[in-house]
Parts: sequence; C-alpha cells; structure tokens
Amino acid sequence: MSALLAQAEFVRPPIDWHAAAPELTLLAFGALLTMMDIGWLERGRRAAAPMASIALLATMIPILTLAADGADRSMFNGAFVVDNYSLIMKAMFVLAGYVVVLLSTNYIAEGDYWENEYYGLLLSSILGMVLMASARDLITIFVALELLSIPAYMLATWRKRDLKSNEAGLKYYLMGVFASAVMLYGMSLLYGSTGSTLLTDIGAVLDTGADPTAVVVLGIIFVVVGFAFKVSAVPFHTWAPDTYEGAPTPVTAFLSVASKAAGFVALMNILFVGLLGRDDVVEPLMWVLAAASMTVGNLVALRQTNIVRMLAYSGVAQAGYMLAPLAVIGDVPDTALGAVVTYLVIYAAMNLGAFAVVIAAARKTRSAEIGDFRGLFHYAPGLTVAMTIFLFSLAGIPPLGGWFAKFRVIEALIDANNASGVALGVVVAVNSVIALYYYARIGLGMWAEEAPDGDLSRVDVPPSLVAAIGLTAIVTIIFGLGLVVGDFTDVSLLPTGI
Amino acid sequence: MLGQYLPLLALFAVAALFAAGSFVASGLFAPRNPSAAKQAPYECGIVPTKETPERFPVRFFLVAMIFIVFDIEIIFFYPWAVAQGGLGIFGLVLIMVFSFAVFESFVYLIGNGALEWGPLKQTAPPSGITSPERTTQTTIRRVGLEDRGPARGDDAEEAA
Repeated sequence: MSALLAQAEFVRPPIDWHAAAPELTLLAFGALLTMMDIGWLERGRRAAAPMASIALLATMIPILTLAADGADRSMFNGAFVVDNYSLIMKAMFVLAGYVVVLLSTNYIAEGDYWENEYYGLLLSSILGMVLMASARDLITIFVALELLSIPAYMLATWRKRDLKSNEAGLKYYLMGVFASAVMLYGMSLLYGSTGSTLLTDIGAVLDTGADPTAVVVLGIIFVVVGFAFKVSAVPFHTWAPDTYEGAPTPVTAFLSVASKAAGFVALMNILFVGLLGRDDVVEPLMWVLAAASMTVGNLVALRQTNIVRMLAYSGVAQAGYMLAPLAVIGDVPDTALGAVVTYLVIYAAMNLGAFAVVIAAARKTRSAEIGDFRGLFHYAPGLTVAMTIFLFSLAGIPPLGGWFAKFRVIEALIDANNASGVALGVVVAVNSVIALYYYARIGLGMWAEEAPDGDLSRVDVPPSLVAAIGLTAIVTIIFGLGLVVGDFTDVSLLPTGI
Repeated sequence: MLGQYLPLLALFAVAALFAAGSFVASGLFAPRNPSAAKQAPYECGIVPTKETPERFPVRFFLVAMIFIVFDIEIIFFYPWAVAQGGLGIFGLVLIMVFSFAVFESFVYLIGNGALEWGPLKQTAPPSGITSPERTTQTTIRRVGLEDRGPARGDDAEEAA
C-alpha cells in the first residue's frame, strides 16, 4: 500500500477551461436557480422561467466562441473531446432546451406546479446531454447518461396528482434503470476484454482483430441494447407511448427530442470511436433495429387516436430512420455520421414544433385526441399552417427539412454500395409512404372538416408559444431549402478527424 | 478454470437445500393454534384503532435525504483527507467546490422546511382547491389542473 502511494505521484491534470465552459455555465446557472428558490420564495418562482432561458442562451456564448476558435480540444487523456461534431450536438441540445423552456413557461405556471425545481431539473438534464456530446470514455458516458436521465424521470411525473403521470414516470424510471443495468454489464464486458474504458483505446484493441472472443460481441450487444431503450427503438420501445402520454406535454417534447438525441449521441460516440473495428457485429444489429423500429412504429401509429401517442409511435419510426445509416458505418463512416447528425438537428426542430402546436391547441380543446383537432383551420389558421409544415416535414415531403434529412439517410445507404444498404434504403422509402397516411390524415382533418362542437372562438396563444412555433418553423424550412448544410455533414469521429 | 467457482455452486446448493428444508420442517412440526389476536395485523404490539391514514408526513423522507447528502460528502471527503498531502492546493480547491455543491442541497432542504417539526398543521383547505401559498410550516402544496375553477384563466384574460 505504501509502495503504491509512493509510486502514484499526483500530477495536476491540465484543464482547458474554455473547452469546459458550456458545462460550467449551465452548472453555475443551475446552482443559482436553486439558491433563488431558497432566498426569494415566490418572487424567485416567477423569475424561474426567464432565468432558465438566460442560462441556456448564456451557454450558447462559449459554444459559439469554441466554434469560432475551431481547434479540436481534448482533456483527461481524451475522455472529454470538443470538436466540430460535439459542438453541433451541444448547440442542438441547448437550443432544444430553450424551446422546451418556451413551451413550459405557461403550462407549468398555470398548472401551479413547482417551478424552480422544474427548471432546475431541466437544466440539470441538459447539462448531462451537453456533457454527453463530449464524452469519449465509458465512465464519462455513463455519468452523463445518468445526469440526463434521473431528472427526466422526475420531470415525467410532474403532474403528480394525475395517475397517468405517475404511471409515466414509474414506467420510464423502471425501464431506464433496467436499460442502465444492461448497458453497464455490457460496458464491464468491453472493459474486461480490452483493458480500458477510453473509447480510443478500446477501438485500438478491437482494430487489431487479435481477440475475436464472444465476450466482446456480448458486450457490444448489451451496450447497444441499453441505448436502444434510450432512443426507443423496437423492440425496446414499449415504455415510450405510455410515458409520452402521461408526462406533461412540454416534458414529452423534451423526452422525444433531446433525450432521444442524447441516446443517439452516446451511441455514435461508442460505435464510431470504439467499436468501428467490429462492424461485422454492429452493422447487422443496427440493420435489424432500424428496420423493426421503422416498420412497427409506422404500422402502430396508423391506429392511434391520441395525437401524443401517435407522435410517440412516429418518434419510434423516426428513430428507425436515424438508426438506418448506422447499419453501414463500416462502409461509409463519415457519410453515415453526417446523415445522423443532420437528421437529429432537423428532427429536433420539426418534432418540437409539432408538440408546440399540440400544446397551443390543447389550451382550448383541453384534449389531445386527434378528433378534437378537426376544423382547427376555422378558428386557428396560423396554428394549422404551422402544424401542416411540421407534419409534412415529419412525413418527408419536399421542400421541407424532413425531406432533406431522409434524403441524406438514403444517400448514405446507397453510398455503402452493398445489398444490405440498398435493401434498408428500400425499407426507409416504403415506410415513408406508410407514414404519410397518418400525418396527412391529421392535416386533412384540420383543413377540411368542421370543428367537432362548432365552437369557433379563437385560441389564446401566449407569446412564448408563438416564439417556439416560429423558431422551429423557420429552422424546418431553411433546412429544407438546403441553406445550411455543409457544417452538418462535415463531421467526423474517425481517429484522423480528432 | 471454471473449477474455482465450484465452492460458489456448493454454497448455492446448500442455501437452496436449507430454504426448502426449513419450509418442509415448519410445515411438519409447527403447532397450529390460531386465535383472533394472533391473526390480527401486527402494529407495534398495539391494537389498531383506525384505518391507515391516507397521507404520511414526508418529513421522514427529507431527514433520510439529509442523511444521504452527508453520507455522500463523507464518502468523497475520506479519500481526499487520506491523500490531501499529495493533492495540494488543487485538491483543496476542488473539494471546496464539491462541498459547496453538497452544502447547497442541504441549504435547499432546510430552506424548504425539512427540519421543522411541530404540530401537524391542516395543510390543504377541505374543498381541495389549490392553495398557492407556501409557508415555512409546510412544504405540501396541491398541484394539477383538476378541481380548479376557471378563476385563474379569467384573471389571465383580464390582464391581457
């Protein structure tokens, strides 16, 4: 013991404060938010939502300065990396969080829910996501995952007097910890067979091909299954519809966009940096997950009568589209990564937008049944136009963002130039046609039918919701016109890229 | 190589045998003289006088949370204290940042009345209408849209 102590001379690890600035900003504002609650009580409660918005916008500053600087940074032996890819994902998480704050402002205040705690937990969850974008080490990834998941379990139960919300939180929690346990077991197997938790080291060991043991394969499968729960891929999606329906709608938007994207970011970090040497295992696994998620998600969504449940199943199907490029990571890694990143960013905009319209319309209809959206055009034409944009974008109709995202996915699959890639491309195309039916059915009801109760009084849409819908609609449209493309496809996680 | 797990397997077998044996022995040899007192639910040896109340004070949970807060602080303090000579100023600053974070959660708990004991106050009006007041005496507040009249919505419209 004493010999060990004598050997381990402590060397202060070099810390790049600029690289860690986004995380530190979020952390400091989160602590401040909690202190406000203790010190000011009711006054602090009123200031909670503006404070959370300021926190998220302030976090954008270091992200933008890091992007302007342009240099790739690495800390803690490569466990924490800031590069082009991680900055894009960080900005997406922070901006998605900002839109969720906009969605929450009236919902949480008018429902008389706990406010400071709500925004504190939201910031904490976003902190986990921002950290996840930089994590290149199994332990860092796990810590980031728990940091983003545990507040989300609590947020899902925020309507605590509602049994459905309790059910939502409990199901999400139980499935989440189960997935964490499975994933940790997989990580322990990877660590045991490669001798390192650093993804680059794991990648180096696997690249040599010296140790093609079944243990590594089992570890890969368990890790992938753990994240498949997080991104709600079939057959690990069963928690999603119940959780989405029961949770407060802004939280549902947060879970279906930010939390799902965080799962994808973690999955991509592990697959591209660590497991690219075993693409013989990863590719078939991803192929099956992607094809099953698309097909089951779309077919079940056809029969939904509640719009939130329909969006949940549509989210499962969208996760399938995003998993599809990962089925060809061994053939065209950079193209596949660019396709997933592009899809994640566009999906965030259009799905948050769809939820924003649902929240705005539900302020009048007090329900999320699809039937109650009939005749929306007659009393809320603006909301109807916005919802149509988001739904058609989700369906992938040009010239909207969703079309461009699907185009990148299919392009990556064709680029792989092999039978499995082309076959999956066909599955994507067929599923897009199926999906159009249930998206267009809502659109048709909104435009062509009469309001169910003949009540044509206008919907009172608060300014924060108008801002959220406007922001997401603009992003959805400019992506579809192909105005901001280069940065999102110019990403790489390959060793030469770092 | 797997031979080293043999004792573990034997332990499992012994445990299973013991559990099964206990069940069988209890079924065979235990005397059965049931009476009303024996079949009643056991509650601290006192005869139950009323149904279990619907709401428990959450204070016990909050005390447990305070315990966990300090538990975690100790877990991180101990290795730091052992190695602090080598860690120097850097370690000292980091542990101070850490203890600030831990202390903040403690202050949050105290600020929300986790340690305020005393006679239990009637926290919710009998009608079940939401009370937006939060006093230092209670952390319990009713939430949700149910049972709420249109009063707030009307206020909002007047303000707008």
